[in-house]
Amino acid sequence: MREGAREIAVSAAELVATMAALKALGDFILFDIVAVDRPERYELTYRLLDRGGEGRVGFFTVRVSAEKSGADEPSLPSLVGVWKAADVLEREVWDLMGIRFEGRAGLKRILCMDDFEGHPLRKDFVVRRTPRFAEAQEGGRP
Amino acid sequence: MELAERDVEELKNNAIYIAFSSVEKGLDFCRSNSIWPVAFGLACCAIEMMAAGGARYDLSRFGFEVFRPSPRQADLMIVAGTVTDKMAPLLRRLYDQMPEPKYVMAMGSCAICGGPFADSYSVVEGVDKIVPVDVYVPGCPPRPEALIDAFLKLRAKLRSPAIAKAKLHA
Amino acid sequence: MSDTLETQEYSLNLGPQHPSTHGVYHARLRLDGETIVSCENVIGYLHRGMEKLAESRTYAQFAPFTSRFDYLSGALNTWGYAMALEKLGGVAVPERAEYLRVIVGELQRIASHLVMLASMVIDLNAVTGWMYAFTAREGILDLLEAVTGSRMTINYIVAGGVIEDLPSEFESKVKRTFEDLRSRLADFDRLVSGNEIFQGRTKGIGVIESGTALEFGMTGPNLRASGVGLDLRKDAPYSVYDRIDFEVPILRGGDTFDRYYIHLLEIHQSVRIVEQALDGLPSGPLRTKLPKAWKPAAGEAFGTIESTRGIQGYHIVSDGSERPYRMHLRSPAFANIAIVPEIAPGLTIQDFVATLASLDIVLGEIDR
Repeated sequence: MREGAREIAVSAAELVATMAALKALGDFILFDIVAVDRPERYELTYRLLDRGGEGRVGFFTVRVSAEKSGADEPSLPSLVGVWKAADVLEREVWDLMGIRFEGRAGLKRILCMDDFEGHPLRKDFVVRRTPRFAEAQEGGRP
Repeated sequence: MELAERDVEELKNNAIYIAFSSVEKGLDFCRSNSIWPVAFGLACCAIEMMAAGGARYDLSRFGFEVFRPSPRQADLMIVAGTVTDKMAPLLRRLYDQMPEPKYVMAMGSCAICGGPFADSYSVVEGVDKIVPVDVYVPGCPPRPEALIDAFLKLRAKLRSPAIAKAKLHA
Repeated sequence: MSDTLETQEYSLNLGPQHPSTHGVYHARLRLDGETIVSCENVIGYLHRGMEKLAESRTYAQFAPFTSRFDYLSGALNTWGYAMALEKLGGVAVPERAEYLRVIVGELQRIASHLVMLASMVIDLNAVTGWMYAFTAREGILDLLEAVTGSRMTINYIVAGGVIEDLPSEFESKVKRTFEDLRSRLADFDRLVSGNEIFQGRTKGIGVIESGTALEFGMTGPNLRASGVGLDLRKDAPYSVYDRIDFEVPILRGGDTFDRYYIHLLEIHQSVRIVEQALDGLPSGPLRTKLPKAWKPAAGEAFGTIESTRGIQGYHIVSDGSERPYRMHLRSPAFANIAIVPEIAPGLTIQDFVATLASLDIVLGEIDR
C-alpha cells in the first residue's frame, strides 16, 4: 500500500481544479470525506482510492480547511460536478458538521431529521437527552 | 313443580353464564395460539427475529410464524432494534394502524431502554416511551430462544384474561 | 395503449416499513403506471449518532459499538477498527492472532453472504430458498459462537490481537460444518440459480456499468459483479492474506443476477481461506496487551478492510487523550445505496425490489 507518502494540502479555491485534474488521471475514485472540528478551523480530508495498477491499490489524501469566521457558516466549493459520489458525502458533512458546499443543489440533511437543530459532530454541540417525540405526545408516557 | 322451575331458572342462568365465559376463554385460547406479528425489523435484532422463524428454531411450532407485511393484519408488533427520533412517529403510526387487541414486544436492549446508544442525540430511550409494551426481551441481540420464550410468556398472558384485561383497560 | 390513454405520474413511498426494503430504508418513488420515473433515497431512520458517541468513550469502550455498524458482519467491523487503532499506536499483532482473525473474519463473511442470499430470494417470494440459506447459516454461527461466544454482534478482535484461543476439536467441527455447507450450497444453487423464474426476474435487470459504479464510489461484491476486480485482500493485502491462495471472483454482467451469483462464488472462496488458515495456524501468543487507559500519541490513522459489502474505512483522530477526538466510518453500503436513484428510472416496482435486494444494503452501516 502506498498510503502515507501520498498526500497534498490545497486551498479551498484550488480544490475543484485539483480534483478534476486527479480524476483526469483515470485511476482515482472519490472514497470518503471526513471533517474534523479543530479549535480554529474545520479540517476536511478527501480520501481518494487509487487503483493504479495490479496489486498496488492505495489511498491518496487531499486536505483542505474551512475557516471559522464568526457567525457565518463555513463553506467550501462542491465536488458534485467532478464526482457523483460527492453528493451524499457532502450532504453528510453538511448534516453532521455544518459545512456549506457552494455551487450545488439539494444540500439538505441526510441522516438527522429534517427539523433537527444544530450540527451534532461540532464540538460545541450539546446533546439533548430528552427524546423529542415523547415530549410531543399527548399526556406523555402512555 | 316450584322446585323444578327454580332449578331450570338456575340452570339457565348457569348455562348462559358458562357459555359466555367459554366463548371468551375460547377466543383467548385461539388468539394465544396464532399470534400474527407484523414484519417490522429495525436493526440487528431483526436478523435474530428472522433466525427464530428459520428452520432450526422454527417459531411456527407454536403458530406464531405468520409475519404480516401490513400492520392492519397483525396483532403483535416486535420492536426489534434501535428506535430513533426520526423513526418514532412512524412506529407510533404503525401501532395505531394495528387492530385491537394488540400487543408489543420490546426486543433487545435498544428497544427496552436505548441500549448502548441511550446517551445519543437521536435515539429514543426505550420504545415504552412511545407505545405500551407487554413483554421485554433482554439481550444484545437476544437469542432466538429468548424470543420464543417471550412468545410463550405472551401466550400465557393471553390465556389469562385477568392479566390481559388489567393491561388493556388500565 | 399509452398513445390513446392519458396517464399521470403519482408518487409512492416504499418504506420505511416495507417487507422488501432491508431495514428501515425509504425510497420516495415517482411512478408512471408501474414504471419508476424518479427515485429519492430517504435514509437516517437508524441514525444512532455513533460517531458522536465515540468521542465520549475510551478506545476500548467503543470497540463493541463498531460491531453494531454492519450488524451482519460484526467481526469484520471490529477488525477494521482494531487495524486503525494498531496503525495509530504502532501496535504489533502476534502471528497466531492474525490467522485467527482471518478464520473468524471469513466465517463472518460466509454468514453475512448467506443472509444476503436468503433475503434476495425471499424478496422474490421464494421462501423455500430462504430456509436453505438460513439453515446453512446456523452451522456457521455455531462455529462463530464456539470461538467468540456470541452469534451476531461479535467482539472477538481487539486492538493488539484476539481475546480467546480456538476451542478444542474446532478443526473437526469446521470440517463437518463445511461438508454440510457445501451440500446445502449445491442444493441452493440448483434450487435458485437455475430456476427459470428467478433468472427471468434477475437477468439483465438493474444493470450497473463499471464506469457508473466507480463514479459513485461503489466497492465490494457489487463492484466486482460489474467487472472491476477490486479487492483489498488481493490488491493491498493486509493481515496474512498474502500467504493464502484464493481467487477473487469477477463477473461482467453488472445485473441483479450477477450481483446475486458472485456472493455464492465468494462463499466458496471464503471456505478455502478458512481451511488454509487452519492448516497454517502457527502457535504463539494471542494478544499484545494494551493498558486499560491506553493513550495513543496525537495524530490520525486510517484503517481499511475489505468488509462484506465493500471497503470499510475507519478514520480516527487522536489528541493524545484516552478518548478519540474524532472517529469516522467510511461505510461501503452508504456508497452502494447512493447509486439507487441513478439506476431506478425505467425499472418497474418488482424489478426495483430485486435490484435493491441484490445491492445487499445494511442500514446500520449506512445510517451509523
